[in-house]
Amino acid sequence: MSSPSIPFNEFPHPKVHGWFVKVVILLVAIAAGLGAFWLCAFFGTSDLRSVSSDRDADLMWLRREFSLTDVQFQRIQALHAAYASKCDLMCQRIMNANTALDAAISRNKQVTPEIQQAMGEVARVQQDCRQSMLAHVYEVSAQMSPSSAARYLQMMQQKIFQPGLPANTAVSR
Amino acid sequence: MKEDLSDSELREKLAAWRIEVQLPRDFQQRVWKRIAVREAANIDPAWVNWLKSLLIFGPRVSVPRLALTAIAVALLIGTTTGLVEASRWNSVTWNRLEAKYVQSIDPFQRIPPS
Repeated sequence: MSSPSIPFNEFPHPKVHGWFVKVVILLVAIAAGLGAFWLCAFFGTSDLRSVSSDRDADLMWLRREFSLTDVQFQRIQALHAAYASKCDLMCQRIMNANTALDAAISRNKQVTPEIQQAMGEVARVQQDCRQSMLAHVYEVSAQMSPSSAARYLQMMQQKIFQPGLPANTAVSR
Repeated sequence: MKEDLSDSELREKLAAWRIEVQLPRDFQQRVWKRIAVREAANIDPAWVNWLKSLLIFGPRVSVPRLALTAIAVALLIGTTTGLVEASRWNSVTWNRLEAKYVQSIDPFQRIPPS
């Protein structure tokens, strides 16, 4: 008499199978969530990423911020290019004047005519620079529409000419 | 004072001891009422029961429904956080471009402080 064969169940225990399915669902859900995150972040930033990778990203910012037309943008681009070389020269002048003043201060132990001359040169260079900058800002604003020009002037006034202390700041006596 | 009882005498006395108590008529009702009150206090909010049904009592929830719910929730969370992150990055980048333009026309902002 043969012994009855014991049926061997090849499938895992139902409880283990249930947990396995839940883990798979969890992993798929996490992957779906990460995919959605990446897609939204990628396409949500694609526009600005293309702008910021542009060589003239700063001018692209100006164009979008003040809604410049093609003609306005081309004129401002030309003005900016012409001003850029002037700005580099002014940078050099400012650095030279500051270096000279630093050297004069280091060499002396009181205010001498040399130091006074160096300080005068620094002040002159700074004044020239500010006047040149203001002239450029006016030229650029002249190319914009009236509302954009007013906003541009106000912004440049706050960021460049009066960054820390506007005209209406109260000064303690 | 009585003298101490022996063990056998004590056993006899305890065996003979009878308590005659009458249960109130509504005793059973009162017991069930107390059970119901305790059970009502232990009832979880609906969302906890739903979560338990998904995690613990999984076999009661069908697999496709569970998968659909999990993926829908994950997509919602992923999309929301993705949009928030994109908005934050755009804002930071916009400010950076603005600073770059100002720096391009202001030599004082180019020269590092000594």
